[in-house]
Amino acid sequence: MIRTLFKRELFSSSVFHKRGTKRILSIASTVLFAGLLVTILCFVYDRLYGQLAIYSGFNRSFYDFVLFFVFVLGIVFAVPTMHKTFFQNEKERIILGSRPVSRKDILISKTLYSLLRNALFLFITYFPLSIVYGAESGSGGIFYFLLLLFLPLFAVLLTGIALLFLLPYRVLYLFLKRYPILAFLFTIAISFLLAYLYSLFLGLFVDLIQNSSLDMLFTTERMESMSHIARYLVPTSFLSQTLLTESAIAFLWFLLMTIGFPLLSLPIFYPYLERYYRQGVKGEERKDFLVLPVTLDTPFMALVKKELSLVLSRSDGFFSFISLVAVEPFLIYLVVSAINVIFHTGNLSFIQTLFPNFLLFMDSLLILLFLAVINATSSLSLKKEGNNIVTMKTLPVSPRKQLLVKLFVPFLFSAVSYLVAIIVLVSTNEISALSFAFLLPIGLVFLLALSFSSIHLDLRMKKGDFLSLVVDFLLPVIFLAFSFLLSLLKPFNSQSVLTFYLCALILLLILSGVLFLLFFLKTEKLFLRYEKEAQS
Amino acid sequence: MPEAEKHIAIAIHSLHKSYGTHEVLKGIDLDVYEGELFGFIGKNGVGKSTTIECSIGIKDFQSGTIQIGGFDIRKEANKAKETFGYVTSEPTSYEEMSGLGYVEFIASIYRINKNRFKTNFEYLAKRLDLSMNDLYRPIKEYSHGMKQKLCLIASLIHNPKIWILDEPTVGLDAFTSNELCRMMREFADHDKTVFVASHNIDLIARLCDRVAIINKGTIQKIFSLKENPRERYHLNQYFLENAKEKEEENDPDVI
Repeated sequence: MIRTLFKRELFSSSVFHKRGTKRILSIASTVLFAGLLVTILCFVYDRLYGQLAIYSGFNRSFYDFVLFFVFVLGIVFAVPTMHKTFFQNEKERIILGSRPVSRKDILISKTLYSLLRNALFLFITYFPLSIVYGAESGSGGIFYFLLLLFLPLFAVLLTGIALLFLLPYRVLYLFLKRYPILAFLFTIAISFLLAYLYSLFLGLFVDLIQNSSLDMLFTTERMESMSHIARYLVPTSFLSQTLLTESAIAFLWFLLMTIGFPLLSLPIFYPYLERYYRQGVKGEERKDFLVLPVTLDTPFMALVKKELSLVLSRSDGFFSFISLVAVEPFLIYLVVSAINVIFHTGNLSFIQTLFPNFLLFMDSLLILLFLAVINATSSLSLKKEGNNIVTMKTLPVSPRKQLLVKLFVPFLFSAVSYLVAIIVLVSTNEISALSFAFLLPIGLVFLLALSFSSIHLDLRMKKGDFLSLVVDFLLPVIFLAFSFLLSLLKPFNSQSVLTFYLCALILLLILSGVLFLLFFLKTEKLFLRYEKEAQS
Repeated sequence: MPEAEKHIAIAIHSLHKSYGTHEVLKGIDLDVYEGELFGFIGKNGVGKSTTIECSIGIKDFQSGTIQIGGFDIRKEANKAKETFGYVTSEPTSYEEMSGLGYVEFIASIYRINKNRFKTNFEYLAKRLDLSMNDLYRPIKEYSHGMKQKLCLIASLIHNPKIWILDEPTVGLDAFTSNELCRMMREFADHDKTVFVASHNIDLIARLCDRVAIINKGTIQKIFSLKENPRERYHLNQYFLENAKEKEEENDPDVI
């Protein structure tokens, strides 16, 4: 039974939902992404190791911090993922609950699946980072052997501790589900916190690029206190001691925790799971409400309110469109200011000397890529209507009007956020007044172009395909690169800034014009033919 | 009133619909008159829902003409859509909204005024036994039956001339199912049109004035039950004989 349930969990992964070439592409892109991540992690760690080598013995302590960071990150990712595995599919409670399947088997199979996921996470984080450390520090063969041996144990420890956090996470999740406004504020707060953390890392990166050293960050006092703290970074300090010094005591402590945490968390979690399968989620109790006045609007306002409820209520995961839009100005400012520092001072300033418009190109590109990424999470996708596509089709409102409203609401949010972003950039002198004057229409027209293309690809049921990826992310690269190259040519050299911006704006206007025409001419027919993916 | 003097509420002529090379509707011809409770019956997968979905503008079709309330569904889609209310077996609504919020949304689309909305809404909620407390809760907390009742209210809130229902009694309790049948009858008795599709032969035979049987994408036969009540017996016989599956060669051990 456990094997059957485990196999079901495994095949519920999104990669198995696809068929044929799409599955191969999906697996390939996942592997490529993982490979890229490993490469970046190893490169950054390797550079840091080199920088920190001048501080005798500190690299050993820093390795403890790295392992602890991986451990914490593992838990942060594991808890919501495990919550999804156990509770996402409410129908499973009926499918499995009504059949002779023991809750114990359900718990074991889902925990094993989570264990596999956590092991994969550690394989692309803990494992390559430790290999870098081993290579740089000249560790012997036994180190690498122990690395591999301890990977499954580390995964068990991670899973056991994540399971302990699962119940409090579940309580918080249900609480926030009952109070959407609180959930919204909570998501915004987390988004800002992560943006702040991102700013710290970005600052570190800029220091590294600018000065090729981290003297500002790693002072002697800071080193000493970090070395002192590193000893207490339990449980990963026991792991590193075992790996590096082959300490039997450290190994026993680590083993005790690896066995102890799952033994502690499973019996705590099991009764809750048992109750969940017996009773489900407790519904709200009926309350007496006062009769409120009825609110009826014009058809246009009714559609706008509907779109607002979709944008504000639904979220694909933790980071909804609205929370990303809220932090967008902050993120854009961070990245643009970092890029400006890198290319104005430090080792890469020669590029700016050779190609004066290069910085304009980079700033514009990053801004537009941010717009593309955040816009991709909006409610624009028709798939988010789900079964309500039937309701849309039977309403006595033209599809064109309905889709224009659908496009207008998230566009408004994105446009306001973008406006705030470039006003911040120009008022902090990160971009010039001329750049502001051009980036304003360029960004808004780009947003419009993205919205129209998104609708068009959706209606042709090509959203999410490779083509959609190209349109959203490579398009700004292509037309900005073209504008940049054009501005380098001799006839345009004297007015290269104007050439760059004008060219970009004209190309975008042409693209938007074409997309708008397509929308105007083809929408009605395509909408009628559009059917939910499940139908054919 | 003789059929010749009645207006046609739903006119479907030579309707063809294919999915790729697979033709599901092979020339459907159907006229439904005003004031009629028309039943549309067939076993699962023969094209009942597809016929309805093409008629109300949810699905495109290859050829044929469809008029609803006197308006061509392709050329005057919005005008046609103002004439009918539609209910499907799978209740569809915006589940983030409250029940009241969703019905308000639908009423706003149809430009219903407040007084008319309040009157219609209170009447329908009472008849379908949906309490005001329930209507303030998010739809996602409703049971299947409550969602279905809400969709029934939403389909009638604008007082349409034509009521189109596709397997409407799925998920309803016996009381509500019975009440729905009474509502359908009353709707038709007030010179409005009801078009109901179902695979429940007993319900259709008991309720409808005329019944069309669809099989393999074509209309097999139309029975006039109002004019000739004895036809109910023939309807049952015809349906069961034609709907009978080929006998399995091996006896299943599930029975």
